[in-house]
Amino acid sequence: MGLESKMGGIITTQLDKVVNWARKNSLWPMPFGVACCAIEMMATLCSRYDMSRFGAEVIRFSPRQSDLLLVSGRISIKMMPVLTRIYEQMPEPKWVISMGACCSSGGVFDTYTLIQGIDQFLPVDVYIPGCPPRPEALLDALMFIQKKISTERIQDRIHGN
Amino acid sequence: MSRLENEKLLSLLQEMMGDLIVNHHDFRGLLSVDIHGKDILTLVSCIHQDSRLNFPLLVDVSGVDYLEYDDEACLERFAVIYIFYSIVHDCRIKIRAFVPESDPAIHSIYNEYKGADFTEREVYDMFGIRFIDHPNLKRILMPEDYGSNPLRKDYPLKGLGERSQFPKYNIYNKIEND
Repeated sequence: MGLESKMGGIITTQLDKVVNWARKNSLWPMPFGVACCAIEMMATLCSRYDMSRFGAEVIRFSPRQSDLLLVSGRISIKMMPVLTRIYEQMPEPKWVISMGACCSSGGVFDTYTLIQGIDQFLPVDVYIPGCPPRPEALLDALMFIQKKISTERIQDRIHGN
Repeated sequence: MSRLENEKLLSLLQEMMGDLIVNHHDFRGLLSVDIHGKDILTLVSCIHQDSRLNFPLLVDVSGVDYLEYDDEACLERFAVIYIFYSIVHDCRIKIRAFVPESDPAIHSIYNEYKGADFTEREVYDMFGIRFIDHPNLKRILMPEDYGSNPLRKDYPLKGLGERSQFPKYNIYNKIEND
């Protein structure tokens, strides 16, 4: 806006704060529910746990309109290219939650066809343990993401850096 | 029409097939018939077309790997198992067709039973048994460039590194390069 140069660096911090405040309170999740964790995810979105209290109620089934990828369930080697593609389609800035044991480490499915942790292929921000995790755990992970967003700088999230 | 008893069914089959039936046994009321894989079309066309037998429904096709099996009834390493059901007679029959390890191939029964399409593809995917004359024989569960047959007994549970050598399954590069 041209204000930054006139105010000697102070405004940059303030801009970060304003932008981060907006980002962290309007996370739009892209649900990638492929197994039983998705049931808990749905419970978290419904009225009892109500994720909209944290500004993340607008579930978008289009990756192009969302900034939080919620991977919940086991991912097979045939599914992983699809997931990677969805992640690539999401606009920056974007964050990833790996929900549940299967998604984070393969879980009990230590077999030939399952990805042993999606962090081999995607940059995961928060892992949630549990099989499946309680809705409270998902809310906790969301608050972790919010905490992480509030410490970020705008430059960190420019695409290509 | 009344229920077809197993003894009657077996005698009808033996009358039509003769020596081609290598072995048979009855387990909890289910008649099981062993044959060599090369005779499958003869047997299947019998039970499909003969009016006395009349088995119009294919229940399932599956594969078995008898590696390290200490059983004389196992003629070869692999077997393809077919289960048929007769609605009129209210009875089932299990056919076990043995397939050699050296040339794991058997004739497809797609021309007799259209329902064999996907199940035969699954057996091909999991055991590497080829189905001759199948109209669309390609992998159904695993990625198309997956090199192994996971349900073979000599295939390790954790695979041969396919799950970690993932980038070769990046199907999108193929699309973008076209």
